[in-house]
Amino acid sequence: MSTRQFGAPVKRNEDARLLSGQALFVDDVELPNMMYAAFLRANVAHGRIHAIDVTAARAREGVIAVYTAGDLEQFWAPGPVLVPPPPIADVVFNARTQVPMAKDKVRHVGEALAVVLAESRYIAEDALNDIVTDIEALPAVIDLHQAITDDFRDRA
Amino acid sequence: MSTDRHDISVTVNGTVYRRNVESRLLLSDFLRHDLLLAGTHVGCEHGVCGACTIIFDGVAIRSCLTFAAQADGHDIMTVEGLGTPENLHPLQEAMRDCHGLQCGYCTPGVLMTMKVFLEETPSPDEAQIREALSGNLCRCTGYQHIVEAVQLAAQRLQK
Repeated sequence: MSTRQFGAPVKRNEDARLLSGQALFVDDVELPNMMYAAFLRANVAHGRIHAIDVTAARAREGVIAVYTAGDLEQFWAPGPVLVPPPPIADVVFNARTQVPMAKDKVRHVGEALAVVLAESRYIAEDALNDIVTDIEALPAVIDLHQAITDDFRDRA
Repeated sequence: MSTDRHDISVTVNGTVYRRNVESRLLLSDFLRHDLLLAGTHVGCEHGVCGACTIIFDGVAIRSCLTFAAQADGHDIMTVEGLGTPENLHPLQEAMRDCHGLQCGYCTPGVLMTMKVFLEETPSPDEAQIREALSGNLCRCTGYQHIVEAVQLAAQRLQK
């Protein structure tokens, strides 16, 4: 019986490429007319979105498109529950899956508010600074014990 | 935003490249996107992870903390200049033999840092290797196999 898989080190086929800079990671792919995306993200944990004005960002030279949740129309939907929790007697599971971009409310710091597509990463990030937001900060629940009190349990 | 531009001439892995670049273009982006040398990786983009390390006039530096315009007239080595898949450098060979990599993302930066380190410290002890590696984050290996690879490379390079 061969000891190639057992009892002896096995050299990996991919190592020579990885060690010489010849591997192709996703970020290494260069395609014709490729665009670059940059996301504007929430800086409050909880807030009501009154307005996101992307007019100036769209007008910037080199910007191809800017989208917010409203632009996604019927494609905006919370993601599916990919791994359902095991059933536990008397426990109700309130599914709260990720949404593509915040709509009406912000629910965590870093939640995406808008995405800019541009000719370069540099221009895309410049355009993020052109976006004007009006977000009313709301009290945030940052404690598990507080989260299961009657005041907060059923809020989203 | 400024569109201030510069004509630069940079030697990378022995080849002279002449390009016109924006002042704010990072050297890491210049190497990856302008010269299509994507072996230099970008991890944290603020000088912490070490993935973008290159050799600049013989010194290991962070290309994500350097502007392309600063490289004008300078000599750079990237991982592509160290060895080829068919003809690996002894440091690359030792990394392969000791399983000093898994996903390979941090590896180019590790190789660049260790190449300069072994030139300056041909017979390092384990503590010196770990100190020299401290600026290169690796989430796969736990560093043990990288340390062993550097020790093996040092032995082989001595011969």
